[in-house]
Amino acid sequence: MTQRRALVVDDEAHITHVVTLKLRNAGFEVLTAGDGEEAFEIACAHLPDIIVTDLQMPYMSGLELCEKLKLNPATSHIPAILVTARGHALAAADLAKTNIREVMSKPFSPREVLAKAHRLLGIESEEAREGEAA
Amino acid sequence: MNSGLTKVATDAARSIVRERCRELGLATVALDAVGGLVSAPLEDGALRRWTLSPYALRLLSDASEAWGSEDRAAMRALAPGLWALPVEETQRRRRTGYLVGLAMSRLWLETEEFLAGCQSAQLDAQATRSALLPFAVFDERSANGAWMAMRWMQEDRTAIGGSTAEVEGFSHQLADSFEEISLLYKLGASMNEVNQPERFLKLVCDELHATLGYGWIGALLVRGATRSMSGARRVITAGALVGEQARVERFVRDLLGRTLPDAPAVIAVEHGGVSRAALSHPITRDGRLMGVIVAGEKNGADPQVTSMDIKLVGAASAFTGILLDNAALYDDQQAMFLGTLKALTAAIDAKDRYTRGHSERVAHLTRMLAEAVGLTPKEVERTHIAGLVHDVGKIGVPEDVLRKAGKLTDEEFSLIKLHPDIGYNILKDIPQLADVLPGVLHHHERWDGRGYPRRLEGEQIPFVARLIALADSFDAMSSTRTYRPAMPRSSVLAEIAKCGGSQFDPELAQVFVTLDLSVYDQMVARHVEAERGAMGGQAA
Repeated sequence: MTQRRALVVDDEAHITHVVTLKLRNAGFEVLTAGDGEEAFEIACAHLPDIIVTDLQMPYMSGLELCEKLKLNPATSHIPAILVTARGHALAAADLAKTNIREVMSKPFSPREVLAKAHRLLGIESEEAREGEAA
Repeated sequence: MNSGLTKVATDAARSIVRERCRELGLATVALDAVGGLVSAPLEDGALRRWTLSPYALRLLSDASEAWGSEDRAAMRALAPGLWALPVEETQRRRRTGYLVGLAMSRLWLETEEFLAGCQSAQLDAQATRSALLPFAVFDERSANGAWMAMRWMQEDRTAIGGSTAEVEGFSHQLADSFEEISLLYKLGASMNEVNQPERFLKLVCDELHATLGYGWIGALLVRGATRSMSGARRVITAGALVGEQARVERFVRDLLGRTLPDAPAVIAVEHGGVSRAALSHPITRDGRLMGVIVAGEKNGADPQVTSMDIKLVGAASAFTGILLDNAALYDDQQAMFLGTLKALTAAIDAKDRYTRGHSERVAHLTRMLAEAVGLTPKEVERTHIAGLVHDVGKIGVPEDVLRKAGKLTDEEFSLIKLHPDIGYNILKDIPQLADVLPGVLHHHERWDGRGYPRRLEGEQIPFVARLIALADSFDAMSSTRTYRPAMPRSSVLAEIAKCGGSQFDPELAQVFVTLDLSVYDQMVARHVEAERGAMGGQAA
């Protein structure tokens, strides 16, 4: 199987680190960005398979990022997971303009982020395989 | 990492690199992205003055214009024998300026350009030359080496500065996580407070206040949330200032009326012309609203309610809901337990109307005595139960013996004497009553060893049995029996006092005669009335 590429976007380094570690250990190639602008450039240049992004970031929010990605033909198909401390303030109409498939509120379980990434990419997770083997 | 931290990290990196360059004999200046001077050389004297000359500043600004079009700013000769060694400074991937090393050679000090600089700064060329001589140690090759070293240093220092800031961020995050975990542990460990839901709620409020950045935390349960809390409902708070207490309580009370059981709500608290965020979370049980926890007036760096706040308050609400659930189960179980005991004692009383109410009165007196001698509330509760069931064995004694007016035969008395053993056998398979069995079995033992059924004496007799013996005899003497009328109070107390040391534990007998008997007298009066009612009913 070809290596999957993930882009992790958060202005808080501890979040990017934790998510990056989890994804990398699961075999992903991980790119990171500290804000929406940087993330957009990286996404256009490297076309990741999936994006995990924070909502509130300087210069360009996760929501704006995902809207821009959706409008750009090259990146419109990339599924995104939004990890946020403001999930309660999200409007469904805004989400509909994006390719955000999952919203997770902080504090989140890195294991669940990985599981959702696997599910969105149609990858059978290791745990599921182990479960079947058992 | 936020941009504030990046800026601090960049500044720290720059000043370390500049100090090191100075030690290498390399003067440095800091420029902004368009070549304007941000910071002059650290060195005082001629070098500084020459660098600040309009001539030198123009050379630098020309150089930075060239660098602006380069992906990586390259080392550049400002004049023959004078090289500028640029290191880009960036923020958020945008070039914000340059740290520039100035590497000079002896050759340069002899050039026209050098003289031009001196003239434009009105410097004495000869003096300046000798002052700069110690710095003029480079040639193109060594300047290039210095430039590479500068770049590496800058990269390393920036990375280190960034890492340091990240570690700091991690540490803050970790500390917060520890606080949150500790809060959840504490609440989890206090879940056994089923008897005191309000005490648990106080803990919830205190812990949330200490952990979350809110001005105050308040909680209120709905009427009837627990049976044990049927009295006035208090708003429980933490963090509210003395002068604010009433306002906070009113806010929480008002909010409870508007709280829906299905979801938390982010609301605003208006006070003193300022509106601040608040979070209200329902406490529910089986989908029904049981109360509310309110985190009011968010303060600190983030003035908005976060999902972290919601999750933590939500967990505390869930804990409270489970506690209330447990409390209700506990109350039910307790009611069932006591109800069963009362049914048992009612069964005894039904056999002999003269002893009606006896069990409850003995239970009451046993409790009073237990309290008077300083047993713990839990022990007192158990002695009360022992008193309640002490005579349950009488169920197994023939009614005609129990009700017989006049003196009992030896054979009849031996039947009566079986009741402690019978009672013991009836109750012995109820695990919750294991600790009251000694009271049932031994309440007819005497201090002098002449009692029954085991003829125990003195301290061999279980303590609870000694308490019941006093209460039992007192009530028997104070009541009208088939074979004699009730004795007057003074005679009963005199008898109790007299029998301390023979029939009763002498110390307990002394305490007993000092008990306040007003509630006991009310109980007697109630039973007499009930008796009259029953008789009247029969007559009609």
